[in-house]
Amino acid sequence: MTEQTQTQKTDMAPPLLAPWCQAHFDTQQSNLNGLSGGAFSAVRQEAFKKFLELGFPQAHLLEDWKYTSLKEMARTDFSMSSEIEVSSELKKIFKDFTDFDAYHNFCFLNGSFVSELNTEQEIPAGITLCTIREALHSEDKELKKRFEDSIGKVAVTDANALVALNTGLLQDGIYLHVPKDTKLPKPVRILFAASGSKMATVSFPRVLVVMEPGASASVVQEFCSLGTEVTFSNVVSEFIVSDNAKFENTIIQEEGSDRYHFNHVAVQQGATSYFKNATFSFGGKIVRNEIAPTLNGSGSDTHMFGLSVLNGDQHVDNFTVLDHAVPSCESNEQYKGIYDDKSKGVFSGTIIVREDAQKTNAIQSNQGLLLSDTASLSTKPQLKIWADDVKCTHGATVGQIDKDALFYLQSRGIKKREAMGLLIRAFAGDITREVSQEGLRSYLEDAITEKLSQ
Amino acid sequence: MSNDTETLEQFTGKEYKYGFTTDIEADSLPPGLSEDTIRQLSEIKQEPEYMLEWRLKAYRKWLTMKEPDWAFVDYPPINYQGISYYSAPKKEAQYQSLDEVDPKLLDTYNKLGIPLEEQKKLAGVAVDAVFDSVSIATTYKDELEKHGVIFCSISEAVRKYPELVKKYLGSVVPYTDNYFATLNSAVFSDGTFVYIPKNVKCPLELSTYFRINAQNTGQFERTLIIADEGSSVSYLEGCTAPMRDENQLHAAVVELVAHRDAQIKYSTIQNWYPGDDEGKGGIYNFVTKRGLCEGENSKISWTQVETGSSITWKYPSCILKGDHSVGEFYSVALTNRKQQADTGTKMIHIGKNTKSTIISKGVSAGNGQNSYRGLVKVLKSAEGARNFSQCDSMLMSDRCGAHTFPYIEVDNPTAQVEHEATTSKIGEDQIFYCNQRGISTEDAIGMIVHGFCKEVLNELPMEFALEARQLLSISLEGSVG
Repeated sequence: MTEQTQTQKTDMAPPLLAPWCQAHFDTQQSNLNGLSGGAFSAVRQEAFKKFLELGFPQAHLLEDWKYTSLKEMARTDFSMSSEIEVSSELKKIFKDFTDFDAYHNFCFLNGSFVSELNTEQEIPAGITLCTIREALHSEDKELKKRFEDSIGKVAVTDANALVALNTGLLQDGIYLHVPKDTKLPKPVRILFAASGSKMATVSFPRVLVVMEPGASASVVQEFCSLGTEVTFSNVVSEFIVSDNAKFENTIIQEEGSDRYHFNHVAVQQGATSYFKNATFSFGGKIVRNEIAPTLNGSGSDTHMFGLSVLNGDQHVDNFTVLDHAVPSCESNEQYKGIYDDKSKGVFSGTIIVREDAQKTNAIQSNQGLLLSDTASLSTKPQLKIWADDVKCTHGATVGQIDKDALFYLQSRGIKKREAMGLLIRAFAGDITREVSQEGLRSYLEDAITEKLSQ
Repeated sequence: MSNDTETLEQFTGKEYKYGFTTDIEADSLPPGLSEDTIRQLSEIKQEPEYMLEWRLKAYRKWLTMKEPDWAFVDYPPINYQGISYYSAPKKEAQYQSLDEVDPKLLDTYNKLGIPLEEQKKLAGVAVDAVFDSVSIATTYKDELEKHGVIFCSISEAVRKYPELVKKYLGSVVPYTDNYFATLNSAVFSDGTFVYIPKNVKCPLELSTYFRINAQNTGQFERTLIIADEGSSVSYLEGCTAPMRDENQLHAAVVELVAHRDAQIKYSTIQNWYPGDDEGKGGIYNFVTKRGLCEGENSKISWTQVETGSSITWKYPSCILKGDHSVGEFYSVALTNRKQQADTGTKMIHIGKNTKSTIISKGVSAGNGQNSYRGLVKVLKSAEGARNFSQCDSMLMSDRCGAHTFPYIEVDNPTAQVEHEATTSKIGEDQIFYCNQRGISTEDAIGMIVHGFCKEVLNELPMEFALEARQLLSISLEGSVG
């Protein structure tokens, strides 16, 4: 009985690959000339080799991909682009963020850093906040070593083909290192824009956050799309949250409804650490959000929230694996979805409680609201428990708007449409409430209202 | 705490109570599986041509299939050529009364605590006892005949009621269904056939006691129950098996068909040999059970108490095809020592306003691994479908495991689907509370476990509920870590 979340079947057909993978890898290798001898180059090559072995996940072969097919995506001829054209649209999206000045803002276009939009960053002493390219080319040997020692350590490529592909083709991203007992006062906001201006474009952004013991920080990752051609964002985030550290991550996914998006968040938590993640999915044709925290120190606390608001023929798959490896940890997981038109929601949440992880307290819930006859939802909440002194619960519900509640509101003179909006927003409110930055919360509430009015 | 641990060891280490072998000469086929074996088997059973053809079709299909590996269980590869596919007690006579039955056999049942005599007199249960593979004693036949109920071995039905068998055999579980069901279709040895005619309420609880006896014989039971329009039947199945060292494969198939307004209640107590402390020697129980709610307002209810077998792979399912049909699944699965159970149900909602309820209670002790795996699927056509699922697990030691793998697929927005699951340890404070009031630890645990499983046990017919309670006590009482 293996614990691997993705076990490729042995007698499988040849791996599903796309010709552009190899070509882009070769280009990336030559792009990073001068680094070929470095420690990271070896990681890159190893990861790409692994990807070639695994191929793109295939729905009919992998239980974990049962409901999400990448067949069409793999058939698309994607190119990688390093062109940086700062359109007025991009500028607008970049500036148009809630409490812009309250954040350290970064912008990436198709995976490359947009230096033109870089604002002067006032970063407290001791904290490293830079692009991955800067870290790799840094003169500061210590910084470079620290980076190389951490990258690829949490997001393992062994069994996850798309993480392997990201590691192999990684372009750029953000590296945040917060030293012991230090607080990063302003949250970091990273805008990843995927632009298909002339051709189908693929990008491989990466985020690495290392929180030393007692450190605290938060990050907001925003994904948007530009242009008319299809794009595929393959994003991997790695978070190392050491003992007593506190870290909060928010993902806002607003790409167009013809875009592909894969997002993997890997987390290592130390003792009495705190980690909170909230993922908001509004866009995309096929979106897969993976999150895999491992609780390695006792007394740690993990919170994971997710909300999908979908219409058209959007498809969002939330895939979570929470690993309670040590005793006395708590976790709370809540995913909700609102599905209109022909959209499809998938939720697969696994909670693993290892043999030694006594006194674990884990809660998981998944709720789906179907607004149309053609929307559908598949949910798979799973518990794998090897310890006995634990409290684990999971719940899943699928349904439509409560008719009694709707009637109640209507009987008090509230129009049906309005009443429905109220009820749906209340349903979503359980998730938005968890975002601690106030401005961001109302920004998200507005985004939900806007999406629902479409 | 140390006291508790002692009691735990005492109880989890309890010898299998029903472990003995009755020494009756068996008439067996040599081990091995080929088309010839199937021809021989079919000949021994004096089957008509159509049956042999069906078996051969299944066998040829089976050769092209692969053993499934997705279940959360671990076992060494099975040598299908090392199994004997037929074994019958030698004295194959149809007895008129129990006096004529081999006394050794009767003795076996007496040791099991379910004597036929007593059943006959007290419980009013017609017992079609299957000793290994051939039915040897059938009671209350007259009473059933009066109502037009057919209750016989499937071999008899194949000969006597070919039209019914042809129409329904494989209609719910086709011979191509899955690896083990296909194997069963090719080599099924015997089983039970029940037909309840229109608007007949079966006057008795029907019951078959299975018992694997001859060494090294896979038992491939096939059960087919048909409830015609407006009829109802309650069927009980209970199993115990003697102790032995070699793993035995049991790949049964159960098919239920409920027509308009018909009701079928199918209850199982499974207490086969679970293997020794090392997990050696237990039964592999790979069963395909499926019910089809064919007509409107039909209802199929599965209740199971699974305490035995070293490996259980079993998903009694309901296909809710008729509008307003109802499917129910109540299960207690208990794993101790090295037992592994991967069990659950499938509820496929096709008809309008179909309803299903799933209550699953898993209890793990020792090194036992207990998995619930279930699917609730609401098709586009299933307007107003309703499902409620509850899967609770109780853990009794720090080396056991409890896992849940529910799948929910909803394609209709009017459906209301709810699933909840909890996993927790047996409450130490509850035991302490009982202790305080002078209730011994083992009695307290018995009470807590019975309470935990009550929702399911209450679904069992009276006679069975008693036996189930006893079984749970034997297997579990005192198991607290």
